[in-house]
Amino acid sequence: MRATIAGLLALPCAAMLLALAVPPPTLEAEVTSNDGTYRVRYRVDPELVEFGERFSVELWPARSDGADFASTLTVDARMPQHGHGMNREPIVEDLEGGGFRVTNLYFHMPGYWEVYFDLTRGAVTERAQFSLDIE
Amino acid sequence: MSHALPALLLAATVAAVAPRQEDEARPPLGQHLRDVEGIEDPAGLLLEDDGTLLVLQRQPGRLLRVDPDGTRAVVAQDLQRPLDLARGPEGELYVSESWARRVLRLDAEGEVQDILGERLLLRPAGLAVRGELLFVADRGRHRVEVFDLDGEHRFGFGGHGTGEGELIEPRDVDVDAAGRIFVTDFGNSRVQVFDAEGRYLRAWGDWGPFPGLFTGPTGIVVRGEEVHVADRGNHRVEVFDADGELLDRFGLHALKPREGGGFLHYPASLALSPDGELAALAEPPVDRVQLFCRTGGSPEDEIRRQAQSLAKPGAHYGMELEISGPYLAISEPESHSIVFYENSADQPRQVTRISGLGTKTGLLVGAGGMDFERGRRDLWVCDPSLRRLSLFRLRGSEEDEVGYDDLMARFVKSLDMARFHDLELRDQLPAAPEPVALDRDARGRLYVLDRRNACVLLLSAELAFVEVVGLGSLGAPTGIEVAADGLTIHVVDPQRGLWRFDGEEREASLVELDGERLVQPHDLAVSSEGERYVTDVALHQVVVFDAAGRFLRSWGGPGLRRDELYKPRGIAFDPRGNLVVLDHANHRLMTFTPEGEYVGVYGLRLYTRLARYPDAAEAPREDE
Repeated sequence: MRATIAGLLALPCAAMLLALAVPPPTLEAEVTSNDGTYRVRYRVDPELVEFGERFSVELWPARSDGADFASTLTVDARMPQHGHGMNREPIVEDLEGGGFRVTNLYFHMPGYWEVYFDLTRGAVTERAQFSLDIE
Repeated sequence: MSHALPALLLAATVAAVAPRQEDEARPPLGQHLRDVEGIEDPAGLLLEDDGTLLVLQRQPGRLLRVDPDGTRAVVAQDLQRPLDLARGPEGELYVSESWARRVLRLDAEGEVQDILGERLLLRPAGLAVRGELLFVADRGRHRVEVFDLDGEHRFGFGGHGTGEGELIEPRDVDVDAAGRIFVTDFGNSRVQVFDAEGRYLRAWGDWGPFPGLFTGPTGIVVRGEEVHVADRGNHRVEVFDADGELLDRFGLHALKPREGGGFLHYPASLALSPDGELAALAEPPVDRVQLFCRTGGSPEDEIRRQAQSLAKPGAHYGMELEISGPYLAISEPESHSIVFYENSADQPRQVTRISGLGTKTGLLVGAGGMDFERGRRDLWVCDPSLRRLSLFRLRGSEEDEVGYDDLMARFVKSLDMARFHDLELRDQLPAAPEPVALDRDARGRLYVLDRRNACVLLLSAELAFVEVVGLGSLGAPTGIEVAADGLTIHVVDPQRGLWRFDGEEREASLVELDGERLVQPHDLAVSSEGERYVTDVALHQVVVFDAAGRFLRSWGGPGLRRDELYKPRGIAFDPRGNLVVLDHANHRLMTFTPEGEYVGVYGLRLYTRLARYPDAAEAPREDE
């Protein structure tokens, strides 16, 4: 089965959720975090995520105001309509140039998934996210 | 510290608590024996072989003896929110006083003989005495402390967290014949077992309704090889062996208002008689204790027990509500989520829900107070168990057509109070804040009610520290309301009364508890004229004061009719200027005019149908 990538902006309306174009395989998408503090460029590999197949994400977060990033990253994914997450723990590795590579991502159910980039600076954690519809 | 002494002392108790040889042959507990009604706010229990019951009442703070023939006598009174009791080797009683942060030793007549644990305990809850040791589950410091019976502190273990040996709000403790210490880890929905020196051995359970799981375990009693656990949110008792293997369970969720007869409602504590033939369960929401005995062991008994399949979570409301524009938000304890209703029509309509159980970012363990930002669609949620504030946001605008949309809200960001304390608050507050309620002023500043340090923590809209208010004054605060200019702060404090802090200097004034007008306040709403509408759990009323603190009026009283309430909690004004009251033990929302006239009711049918009839005599019976 195949998945369609739909990049989410920070405060989209429902129609945008479904209407956003699928990024070409070599292109990155970008989201703004849910309170606007961060911008996150990301790329999913493979571009078409298969149900029951592992995939990875590379991402390059930055502060929207241009300040030093100086934040830590945690990645997770959930099916909000079903109230559960993945049955694997994502693995986050640093990339050169301030990026991260996230592996061991795996969707064990078809349906609507949200992928979360939780960025922590000091005591505050802010979320950036995008969604995938796994057919 | 050497732990040899506790081990020796515990070894001496083996004979006293060794399992009876006939345990294996005895039929299981779970047959309803009788209801003991009218025990206001029951907490810790002691049960004798003949059925004599000692019951602590949190409100009013007293110890009551109930004889098998129903005769009642007050053994001790003026206790400060007592939560549990245990009997010592000489027949003396130990009582944990949550608000006084100590344990009392009483003689058999209820006279105070000694005070233990002062300056060490924060919110002492469950107690156990084994041999010459007293074990105290401290909900406030998330630890178990162990004293000798002279009050000397011997050792302690635990600490806030989700890992092995860590605890979140431990509710009760007991010790088996081998000296192993069993703790109900309420916030983590598990039982943890420690050796006689407090070292972690094992844990079992997790959150959920299925057999062997818990939704907030409270009381625990170890008898022989059996570990009995009151499973509060699943309205049942589960029985395990010492390794956590599920042996049995009894109790079913009550559905009808105040239903008893073996149907349970949020059991908060558990006691077994010394011979293990009787069990007692305290149900604070319905002011009742139920007694159970062992079944007759017949095939019919077994069929009945087998029929008790899964304890399914109900759709109870939590204790807090918030309103912003057309939206009303209520915490739902069984699912650990926040449910949103659209409240502009005659009946609230559920439009979405957010979050769920978990410690990860965006999830909740114990949702407390909330705040909807005025004019926006941001909802802050307190989680004292995780020491975290979480912000969720509804998308769209109030002009959008409303229908159910399970993706309508999303998590935005959170503030980790433990980390915040490490980074910025060490000079301001002695411990990491545990937020129970919050409000905001027009500048978006957050006024966070911190139960751990008993104060108000003021943060800027950017979540930077601004100031601490009320430190050293507040007792056990539960609700807060802040004026738009931030210069008037009202705090509901069931231990002390209704506080008001005025001006830049935060000058404090107090409407004290008087045992008549105000007994156990929980939450408040302030009108544009400055009138203060306070829910009082003990009076089952809404009590109204003017801006100067003078009593104006009240309405309610215990019951199900349209002019009655049962343990009301959250309260807020809706956009039409009416008051919405979370009628907690009636599982319903009530709407009143500011004068107390009934406007509407919403909730489970069994709890709302009587309110729909102006004349209660015209209402159909419950079984019709």
